[in-house]
Amino acid sequence: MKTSSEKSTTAQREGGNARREPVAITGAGCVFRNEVGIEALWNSVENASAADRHAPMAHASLAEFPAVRHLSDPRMMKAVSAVDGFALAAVEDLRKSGGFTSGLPCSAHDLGIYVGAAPAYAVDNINYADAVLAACNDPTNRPDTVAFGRKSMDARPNTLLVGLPNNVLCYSSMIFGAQGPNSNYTSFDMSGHLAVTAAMRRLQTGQIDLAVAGAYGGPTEKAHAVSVAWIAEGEEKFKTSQETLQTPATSPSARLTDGAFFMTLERASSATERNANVIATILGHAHFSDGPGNLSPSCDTTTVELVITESLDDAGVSAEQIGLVLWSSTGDAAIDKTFLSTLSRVFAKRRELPALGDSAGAVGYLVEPAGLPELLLAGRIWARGAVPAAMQVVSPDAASTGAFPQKIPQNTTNILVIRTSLLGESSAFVLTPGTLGDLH
Amino acid sequence: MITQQQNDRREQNPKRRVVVTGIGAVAPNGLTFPAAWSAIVEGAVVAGPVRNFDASGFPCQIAYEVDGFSFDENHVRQGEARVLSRAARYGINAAAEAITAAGLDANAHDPWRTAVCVGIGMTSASIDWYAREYLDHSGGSHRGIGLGPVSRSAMLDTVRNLPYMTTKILERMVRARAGTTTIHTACASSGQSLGEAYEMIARGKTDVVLTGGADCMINPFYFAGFCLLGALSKRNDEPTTASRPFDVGRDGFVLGEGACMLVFEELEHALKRKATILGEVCGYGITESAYRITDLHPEGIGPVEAMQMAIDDAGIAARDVGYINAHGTSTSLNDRIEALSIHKVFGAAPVLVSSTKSMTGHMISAAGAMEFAICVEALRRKCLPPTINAFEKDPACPVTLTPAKVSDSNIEFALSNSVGFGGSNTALVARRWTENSR
Repeated sequence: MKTSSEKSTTAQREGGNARREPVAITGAGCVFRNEVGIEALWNSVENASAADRHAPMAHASLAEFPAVRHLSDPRMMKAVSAVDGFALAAVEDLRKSGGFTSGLPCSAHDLGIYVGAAPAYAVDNINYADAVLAACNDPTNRPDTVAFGRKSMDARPNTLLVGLPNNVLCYSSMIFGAQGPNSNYTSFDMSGHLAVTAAMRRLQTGQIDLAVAGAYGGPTEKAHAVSVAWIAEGEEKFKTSQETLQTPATSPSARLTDGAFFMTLERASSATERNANVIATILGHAHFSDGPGNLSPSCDTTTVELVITESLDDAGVSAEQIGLVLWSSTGDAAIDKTFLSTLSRVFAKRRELPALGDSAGAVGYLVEPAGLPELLLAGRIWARGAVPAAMQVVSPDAASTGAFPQKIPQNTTNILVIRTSLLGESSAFVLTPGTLGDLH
Repeated sequence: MITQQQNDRREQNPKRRVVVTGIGAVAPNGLTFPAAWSAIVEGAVVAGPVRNFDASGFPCQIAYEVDGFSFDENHVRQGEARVLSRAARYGINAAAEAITAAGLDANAHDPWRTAVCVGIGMTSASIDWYAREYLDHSGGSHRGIGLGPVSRSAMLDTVRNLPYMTTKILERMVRARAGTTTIHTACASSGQSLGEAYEMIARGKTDVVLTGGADCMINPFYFAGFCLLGALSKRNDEPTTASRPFDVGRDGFVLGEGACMLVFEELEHALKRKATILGEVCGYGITESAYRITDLHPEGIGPVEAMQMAIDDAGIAARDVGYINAHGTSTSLNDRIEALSIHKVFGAAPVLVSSTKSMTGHMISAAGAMEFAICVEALRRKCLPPTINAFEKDPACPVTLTPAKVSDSNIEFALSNSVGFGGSNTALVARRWTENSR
C-alpha cells in the first residue's frame, strides 16, 4: 500500500505546478427542519446546546412541508415527490437570496447544475396504492401482476415521473434557466461533495461560468431509513440469522435528518469582478476511497491521511495554516475513531491544534447532503472565532479528541472541511473564509 | 456551443488523450460484448412477450429480456449476492469481462489513480414489499416511518435498489481508490458516466476509470409508469418489429435491460503496459434542455448544443463524423426532434445514422454505454450497424440511415447521442484507433 509520501502530488499530476483558480461560494439556500434559509440553519446550529448534540432528531414530516408556497411555479409540485419539493424550495431560496431573480450573470449555456440526490424508490409516491392493493387481494398471497397492470392504468399519467431521481436537477435547470453541463449523483452520503467537486472542476477548466451545486435527502422516509440501517449494521448482516434488526439508539440511522442544501459557485476572479457576496472560497479538494468495496461501514487511515494532505497540496496550503476543521461524524464508532486518530496524527507536529467541529452533532446525519452545511457555515463559524457548543466533538475515544480546542487559533488562515463516508470514501475541501482579498 | 472565452480557457487547460482498452456487456442479444456485437451486425432481434412477470394486464406486453444469464458469484463475497438486483448482477458480469479484456491484472495499474464512474438505473421494490411494508391497507395511505424492528426480508427488498451497491463492488473488482461515482440522469446516465470518466482522465485526476451503465426496468412498477406515459409500443403481436426507430409507423419504445462496462485509460498509460487499444474517446458534450421533463424542445435545444460541444471538444468538424449511433428510441417525438437536431448540426454532411435500440431495446441507464461501445467496435471493425425495422422512413426525420450492412467503412469518427427524461443530453465522439493515431 502506498503512503502519501510515495505518491505524486495532485498539482504534479494535474498540470505541473500550475495552481488552479480558486472557486468562490457566492450564494446559499437551504431547507432544514422544515425551515427555509441559511439564517434558520445557522440559528439552529448556534443556539443548540451541547446537551442537544447527538440527540435523536425529531423527524420532520416531509409531507407536511409547504413546498408549494416557496416555488415560483407551484405546478411543479404536481409532478414531484415530497422530498423533491423540499429540495426545490431550497433551490428557490438560493435563487432569491443570491439575487438571481432578475437574471443571471452569464449565459444559459455557461450555467451548470450539479445535484446529489437520494436514489429513487417506487414507494416514493402513493399513486399506485389502489393497484397494489388490488394485486394483493389474491388469497394465495402472491401478488397478481395482471390485476396490478389493469388497475395501475387508473393512476395519474405522470406517476413514473414523480419518482425520477433527476427531477430536482431538471426543475432546478428550469428555475435558473440553466442549459450548461450538469450531473446528478446518487452516491449515498458522498453525493453532496461529489456535486460540489464536479461544479468546481467545470468552473476551473472554464467550461462554465456559474454553477448551482448541492444535495438533498429525505432519509426519514421509510425505505431510505431502512437502507441506512442496513448499511450501518456492518458485516454481521451477512451472517446473522436474526429475523429483525432493532436500530440501536447510537447508530447513524437513529440520527437521520431531512435536509436540502444548495449553493452557487463561481471562479473567484469572476466573483470579485461582479462584486458578489462571497461566503467562502474553495482553494483545493481531494477525494479517495478505501478500495475494498465494502457494503458495510469502513474507513482506513491511509485514505483519510491522503485526502487531507492532497487537499492541502491542491490548495497550496500547509497544515500549519489550518485553523478550523469541520467534519460530520457518521455515528459509526469505528469510523469516527479512525478519523479522529488520523486527524490527530496529521496535526501532531503543530504547537497548537486547529479547532474541530462536528456538524452531525448539530444537524444530525443528513446522508446525501452530509458535508454541505459545513461549507455553507464555515465563514460564520470562522467569524465567530470558535466552534458552537452543539458542534463539539464527543469521541468514542476521548483520548483522541481531547486536544482539539473549540477556539480557532490565532495566525491561521484556512478551514478544512472533511467527510468520511459510511462506505469508505473520504473527501476534503480547503477553504478560505470570505474572499481571497479579505486575507491579503 | 463553445464560446471564444471558453475556448481560450480550454486551451489553457490542455487535455490528455483517453483510449478504450476493455469492453464487456450483458445485453438482450448477447451475454458478452462480442456476442451482442455479432447479433447486431446480423440484425438479429430478440424481443418477445415479457417472461419476467405476467404482463398481460398492461397495454404493452413485450420487451427485450436477457436470456440464459448466469451470475458469476466469484466476483462477490459470501452473502452479498442476495442483495444484488438484476441490474447489479448484469453490471458485475459486464465489468469482469471488461477488466479481463483490458488485461487489468493486479500489477497493471495504480489503485490511487483508478476510479469507478457508472450510471445505474432506478430499479424498484417489489409489489408485495410495497404492500407489506408501506401501505396502510385500511386506508390506502402511506404508513409513517418507523425505526423500530425491521424485518430482514424487507431490508433486502429495499437495499437491492441502492445503485451505489453496484459501484462499490466494481470498486473492489478494479481495485479503485481514486473515488467512486454513481450517476443517474435517466436515459442519459451512462452516456454521462462515460463523459465524466473521460474528463477525469483527460484532466489528469486519474489514469484508469471503469465506467458504463447497468439497468433493468422490466418490472410491474416501471411498466405501469411507462405505459401511463404512452411511451411503450403496443405492437404486442409483432414484438420483433415493434422497436422501429425513424420508421413512419413507430409507436413507442420497447424496454430492454442489461449492462455495458468499459475501461477508459490514459493513452500513455495504456501504451506503456502494451494494452490493446480498441478506440479513442476524443469528445464529450453535455447540456440541459431546461424545457420539460419528458419532451424534447421542438427546436432541439439541448441535443444540438451537446453534439456541437462534443465535436468542438474533439477538435474536428461536423463533416469528419461518418456515423451517428442515435438515441433513436422509436417514439414519435424523440426520433423526429433528434433527426432535426442532427440535421441542424451536420447539414448536408454525408453522415450515416442508425439506432441500435431496434436490436437491443431501450436499455435505459445502460443504453449510452452500450451504444458508445458499439461505435468503438464499428470503427474498429470498419463495419457499421444496420438499420432494421425502418420499413418506411419517416419523411419528418431528415437523416440518412445506414443500409442493411456496411462492411467496408473507412470512417474515422463516430458520435453517440443520449437524451434523458429530465432534459440531460450527452454526445460522445469516438475515433478509430490505428498505429498512426499516436
